[in-house]
Parts: sequence; C-alpha cells; structure tokens
Amino acid sequence: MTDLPLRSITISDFRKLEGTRRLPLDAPIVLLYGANGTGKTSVLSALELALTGEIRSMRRHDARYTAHLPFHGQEFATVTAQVSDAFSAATQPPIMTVGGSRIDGLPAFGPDARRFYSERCYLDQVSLGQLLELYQYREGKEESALARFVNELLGLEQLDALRSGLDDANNYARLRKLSEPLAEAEIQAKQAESDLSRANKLSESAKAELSGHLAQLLRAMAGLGFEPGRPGPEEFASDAAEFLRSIESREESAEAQRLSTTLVALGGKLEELLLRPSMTRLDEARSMAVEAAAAHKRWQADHGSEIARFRSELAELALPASGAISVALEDEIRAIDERYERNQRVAAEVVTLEAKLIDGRAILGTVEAQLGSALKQAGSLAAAFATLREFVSDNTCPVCDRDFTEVSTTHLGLHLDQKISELTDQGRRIQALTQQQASVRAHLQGDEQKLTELSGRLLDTSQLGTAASRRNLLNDLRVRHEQLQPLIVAGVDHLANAGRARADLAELEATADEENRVRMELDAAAQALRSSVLQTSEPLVEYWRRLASIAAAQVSQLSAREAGIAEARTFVELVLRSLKAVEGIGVTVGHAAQHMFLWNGRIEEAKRRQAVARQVHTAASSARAAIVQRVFTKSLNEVWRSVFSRLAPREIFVPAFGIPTSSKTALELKIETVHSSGETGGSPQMMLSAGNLNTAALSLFVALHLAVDPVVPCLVFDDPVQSMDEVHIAQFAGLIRVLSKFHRRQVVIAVHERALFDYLSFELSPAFEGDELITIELGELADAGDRGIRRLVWLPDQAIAS
Amino acid sequence: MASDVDAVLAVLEGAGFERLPKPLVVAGSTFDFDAAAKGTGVSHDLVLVAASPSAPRHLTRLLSGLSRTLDQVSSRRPVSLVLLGQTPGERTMTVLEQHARVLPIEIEAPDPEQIRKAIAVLMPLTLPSVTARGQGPLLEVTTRIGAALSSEHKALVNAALVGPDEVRDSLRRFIDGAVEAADSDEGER
Repeated sequence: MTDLPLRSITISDFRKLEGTRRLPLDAPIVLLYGANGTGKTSVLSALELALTGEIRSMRRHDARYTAHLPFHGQEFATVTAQVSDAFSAATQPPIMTVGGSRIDGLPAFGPDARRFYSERCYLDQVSLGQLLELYQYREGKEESALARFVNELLGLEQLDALRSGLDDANNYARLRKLSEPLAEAEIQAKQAESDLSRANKLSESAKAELSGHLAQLLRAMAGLGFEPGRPGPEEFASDAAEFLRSIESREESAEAQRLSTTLVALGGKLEELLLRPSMTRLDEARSMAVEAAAAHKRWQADHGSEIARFRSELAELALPASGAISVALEDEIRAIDERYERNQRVAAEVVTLEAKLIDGRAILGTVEAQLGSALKQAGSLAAAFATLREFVSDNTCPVCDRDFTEVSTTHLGLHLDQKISELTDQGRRIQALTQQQASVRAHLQGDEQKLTELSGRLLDTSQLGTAASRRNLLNDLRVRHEQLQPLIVAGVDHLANAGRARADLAELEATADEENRVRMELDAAAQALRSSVLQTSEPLVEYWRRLASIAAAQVSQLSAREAGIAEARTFVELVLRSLKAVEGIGVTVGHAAQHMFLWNGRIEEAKRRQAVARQVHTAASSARAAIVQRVFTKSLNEVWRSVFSRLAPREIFVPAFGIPTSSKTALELKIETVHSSGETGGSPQMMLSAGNLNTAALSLFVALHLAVDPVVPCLVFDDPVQSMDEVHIAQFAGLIRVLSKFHRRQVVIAVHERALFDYLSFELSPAFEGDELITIELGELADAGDRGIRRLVWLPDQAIAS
Repeated sequence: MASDVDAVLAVLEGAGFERLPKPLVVAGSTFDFDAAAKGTGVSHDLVLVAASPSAPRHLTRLLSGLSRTLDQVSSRRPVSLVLLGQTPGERTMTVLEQHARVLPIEIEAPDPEQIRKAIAVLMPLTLPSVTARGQGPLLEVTTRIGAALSSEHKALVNAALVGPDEVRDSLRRFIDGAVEAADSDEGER
C-alpha cells in the first residue's frame, strides 16, 4: 500500500521513552500495546508533535508543556516522522527538537494536513472522555470547534455573503439608503409629480382666465356693434382686432378735442375781457383824449416861448432846464457867497502872517548875535586853560607865579579844573543857541511859504467882478422862476392828462379788437360744430357757453367710444395673451408628464431589479436551508447514526445533531438523541449510559472524520475502548476493520490491556493479499530481538475451502 | 425461521459475502450451523447464521468447536454469529461472545433493512456520495432560480465569491444603474 500517510516515527528521549526508538508505521493497521507507564501515549504524542509541531491536549492543559517533553534528566528530545510524499512538507523527514520552551524544526505535515490530523485524525485519550464538551466549548465570542467544523462543512460562507449582501433588497427603504441615486430618483419622481400637478392647476387657471377674457371681449365687442362670425377663440380675437382697426376714429376725436380746447381757451379770453373797462366808455375816452390834447396845445401857445427862453438862459449858465430849478439856483448863489467869505479870511490871514514874519526876523538877529559872542569866548580859552593845567602842580600860577592861596582857599589846580568845566558849559549854551537859531529860521521859512501860498489864493479884482455879475444874474433868474413856476406845473399837468387820455383810449380800442377776434373764433367753432352763429340778443358769454357745451358733449361721446375701443383692444390683447399662456402651459404640462413618466419608469426599473435581487436572496435562503438540511441529515446524522449503531447496536437512543430550522446566519448547534421510534430525546449526557456516552463521542469523532474529504486518510486512537464491554469492543474492532479495509483509512490504535491487544491483533489481521498489520509492544519486549515489533502479512486461509 | 436464515444470507450476499455450502466444513470438520458465509475481496470474515437454539449448549459447543478448529489451523478469520430469534441467557451469550462477535436479530421475520442494521458492523459504511453532498452552494442558488436565471442574477451571485461587501456593492451598482441611466437621458433632453 503506497498511499499510507504514516510511514515511521523515530523518537529520542521523549517523555517516558529513554534512548532512541524507530517504530515502523507503514501498514494499514498499526496496533500499539504497552502496559500503563511504558510510554504508549508518549509514542502517540511524539507522533502528533512530529506531524503537526504541537501536542494539542497538552497545550490545552499547560502552555509550557514543551519543558516536560524530554526524558527525565535529558535537556531535549527529538522526534522525526516519515510520511508519504503526498503529505510531506519537506523532502527529507525533518527532525524536531523540543526542550525548555522551544520546539525547533518543521513538522512533517504541511499546514492543511497538520490541522486535519489534529482535528479529524487523532483522538487522544484525554480528549475522548471530554470530546462532546470540547467540541461544544466556546472561548469568548469564538465559535465552538464543532460549530466551526459544521460551518466549514456547510460551506455557507458564500451563501451568507449573498444573503447578507442582498439583505437590503428585501426592504425598499433600506434599498433607498443603499442607493443614493435611487433615493434621488424618488425625490425626482415626487418632484415631477408635483410639477405635473402644479402645471395642471396652472393650465386650469389659464383656461379659466381665457374664458373670462373671452366673455369680457364678447361684451365689449357687442357694445361696439360687432357680432362674432367664425368659431374658435383665436379666430374671434383676430376678427375683433380687425374690426377694431377698421372703426378707429382718432382724427375725428382729435378734431373734437382741439375744438373743445379752443373753446376752453376762448372762455379764458372772454373771462379776461369781462374784467376790462366796458366798451361803452370808448367814445367818452376818445373825446377826453381830444380835449386833453387841446388844453396842452393852448398852454403851449400861451407860455411856451417864455418858458423856453427861461430855459435857454438857464442853459447858458450851465444850469439844468427842468426839474429842481429853484434849488439849483439857490445852490449856485450860495456858492458865490461862500467864495467871497473865504477870500476875506485869506486876506486877514496874510496880514497876520506878515506881522509874524517881522517879529521872527528880529528874534533871529538877536540869537545870531549871542551865538557869535559865545563862540568867540569859548573856543581858545578852554584850550589855553587845558594847556596850563599841565603846568600846575601847586598853588603857584604858572602865568603870574603868584600863590593862589592869596586869592582863594581853593587849590589852583582845582580852580583851573573848575574853569575848564565852566567853559565846557559855555559849549552847551552855544549848542542851545545854534538849535534855537535853526528853529527860528525854520519857522520863518514855513511862514514865508505859507504867505506865498495864501497870497496866491487871494482873488484878484477881475475875478471878484465876474463873481459879482454872475450872482446878480442868478438872483434875477431866481425871481423869474418864482413867477414862472405855477405855469410850468400847469404845463406838466396838461401833458400828463393828454398822455393818460391817449393810453385809456388805446386800451379800450385793443379790448374792442380782442372781442371782435373772439367772436370770429366762436363763429368758426359754431360752424365746425354745425351750430348757429351768434344771435343778436345773445350775449357773447352765452354764445360761448352754448358752443362749449356742444363741444364737450361731442368730446365726451367720442371719448366714450374711444374708451370702448380701447377696452375691447385690451381684451383682445388679454385673450391673445391667455391663449399664448394656455398654449405655453400646455407645453409645460407635456414636459412635466414626460418627466414623471421617465422617473417613474426608472423607479419601476429599480423595483424590477430589486425583485431580481430578492429572487437571488430567496434562492440563496432556500439553498441554504436545503444545504443545512442535507448536511445535517446526510453528512452528519446519517454517518453518526451509522457509526454509533455499529458500536452500540442495542442502544435505543441514538445521538444526533438537532437540525437547525432557523435561517439565521449563525447556526445554533444542538446535540440531542433520537429514539428508535423517531422521537427526539434529551441530550446524550442525559439519555445515554457512561459507556454509550463514550461511544457517542467516539462515533462522533469517526463520523466527523468521514463527513469530509479525508485530507489525511488515517485515524489514530489512544486507548479508545477503556470503558467498553466485550460486545462494544467486538463492534469497535468490526468498525476499525471496515474503516481500514473498505474505507482505506490507515488506523493506529494504542491499547494497554494484553487481552485486548491479543483480541485486536487477531480481529484486525490482514484480510487480503498485500494487507498488513504491525503490532508494536512496548515495555519488556522492547529489548527483545525484534524490539517488540511484528509485521503480519496476509496468508491464504486453508481452513475453509473456497 | 428457515426463511429468516435465507433473508440474512440474501443480505450478506448482497454485501459481497459468499454463501458457504451447508454443512460448514472447516479443516475437514463439519459444523452444523443453519448457514455460513465468508467475506470476499477485502473482507475475510466468517459469518455463521444460527436460529435461536432450543438447546443453547449445542450452539455454544458448536461455536467453541469451530473456534478451536480455526485456532488449530492458525486461521485468523474473525468469526461473527448472526443469532436469529430470542437472545439466549446471559451465560450463553458470554460463552458465545468469547468465540465470536454475536449479532442478535430478535425480530421475527426481519426485513432486509432490519437485518442490515443488525449486521451493519460487517458492511461498509454508507458515506454521502459527492452528489449527495451537493453541488457548489452558489450553483445550487442558480439552479433554484431556474429558467428565470439571467446575467443580472449571475452577476449578483458571482459577487458572493468575493464576499458580502462585494455583493452589497454589486447590489448598489445594480440599483444605481436602474436610475443612473436616467441621468444620461436627462442630459440628452
């Protein structure tokens, strides 16, 4: 058999095994026997370590178990397993060294085989008793080993991915959350619907407005005498517009308006004319004007020449000929008189000045005389004294040599000093005199100039004569003016009266002209209004009033018609506008409907796709349920039942997995029992004896191994039948044979009872050509020649004839 | 009872056993069992069939005799005894079990299924075939959708190969696509 996974194990100083042992494992069945304490479990542990790199049952118990693996007193142990190339991780069997906290070297199996071996192939002695608990044990949130296995077996990962990924498809609200565009489309569809509803409302209201405007137009056109001809609002509006253009009377109306305006203006003029003087005064004014002109003429004849003469005389004297003549004359006379008086004052002043000049000249002479004498004294004497002073040292005079004490108690020097000082005072006087002289001279000069000037101003005799004759002339004119004054005033009055009378007349004539023009215009208006002209008895104002009233009536009539036309035109406009609005809104309604149709279509498509997704979801759920049902029924329960029934054929309660009915993602695994009647019983722990509970565990282990494709087709049991009775052992042996011979599993079994070993050696004998059985005995026989290892091969059985 | 023996033999034959001539002759000695069969191929079991004995001692003697004979010729054939009818007393059973695996069938006129169950240990296990284990789970989904299956379904199903997020993304894109195509229409309008 070349497909056996396990070939041999070499163990050195491992746990209870001292020294190095190589054990062959290359047979379909390997039976290992060792009394308690001979290292039977050590071999299987070493095998697990060599194959997988760890010993799971020990690790569960103590994380630092590697420290206890070397044989007592040894630092390290080594294990080497040789496996089939199909499962080997390396070309050469790797040696694993353990000791302390380390495991060096690579395990013989590759990763998948390692895991499969640990979980599905090797049932250690410790685990068997706790198998059900171990399988269902959950650490924290991790799923139990059993749940993990079942989940892997179920292969629900993809289905659950499908179900959970499509979960949103089951709920439209969630789907909308998932797909933003869908949510947006919903909004758009709602918007489109509300747009359409709004557009419809607008359309309704536009149509209502149109019909209202049509009614108004119909009424207005009836007022203008128009009857609708063609059907349809557009045709009606168009015909009405045509009619309105044809009856336009703008010129007529403008003419009436102009006439009315003219009449209003004429009314204003009339009003103004009424405020002016009456026409009846026209003749009176005319005679008054003639009269005033005559009076003025008479005055001119009587006094004109005299007054003209008087005026020419005034002109000769360069005096104004009119106005305040008397004042001018008075001013002129007064000026001449004032000139006389002034001349007299100047003459008196000249006399006084001449006297003053004589006095001044006398003073000047005196001053000049004093100054001359003073100058003579002072100059040389002071200089002589000063020279002398230099020669005076005592009281002896250097001039006369007399002792000065004779004449004075004062020292001569002092006396000289005093004299010099006095002479110096004389200088000051000279200075004062000089100043006085200059002052007197200046005064004299000023007075002489003034005298010259005054003398120049004095009038000479001829001038005085001219002034006197002019004064006489002026005085004469003043007297004559006093006589002529009333005449002059009368003349001025006459002139003024004549002027005023003329003006009055002119105004009255203008008024008459104006009235005449107004009447003519009124006549023209009467003609235009086709009314009678002014009646003889009719006052002009009444005439105007009559015409104005007719014109106003005409204007009013025409404007009423204009207004009717304007109104009708407005309604035509409104109807046309409403028609356009109705048309425009119609387009909007169309667009909105199209928009709504579009978005609703998209949402329908989204819903269709939702249905597709739901269909997939439903199919996934149903597939899942079917797979769960199938796996639990076929792969798990049927195999388990089959294995358990072989081991405990008389047990009426068979352990089984409760088939999960829930479609939840997380499977709730439940182990129960099923009675032979088919009814569900309690848990195996409750329903089975201790022995059968073990059997349940063992059968579950085998069932799980058989439920999947065998990654490593081998089964390794450490004393699996410890608490089994004879019947169960026989059944177990039968099962092992089936597993080995029919299902090609390599089987390694360790037992500690000699009788059992012998029984199994017999029961598991090679059954066909090429079949083999290796038995290994540990303990005493290990030192025997064959080291306790026997390889049994198949021999044809002669006992029963074939 | 003879028909029960035949029924057992029939089941055994159906499982690849070979009926042995009656009486059974082993190493020249004759053993008067009701029937006997031997395994073929990978099985070399010797199966004896005995109706519930009126005299249990006869059966025990017969079986121990056979056992000794097999020992004498160093035969390593495992022996099973299918015992039809009422199970004998405990002492008898203990003796019988010392020499053979005893497979009792207490039911009268058992049907083949009941026989198969009783002698199951001699037969190969029925393991779920590949077809019974089912096709790929996703293939199962598409099969269930059936005739309605479209490329749209397939795209969603295939996303499950990547994971739930990809499925969700595919669903989102799928739904987005229904309304986003609309956006481009909008642009055209």
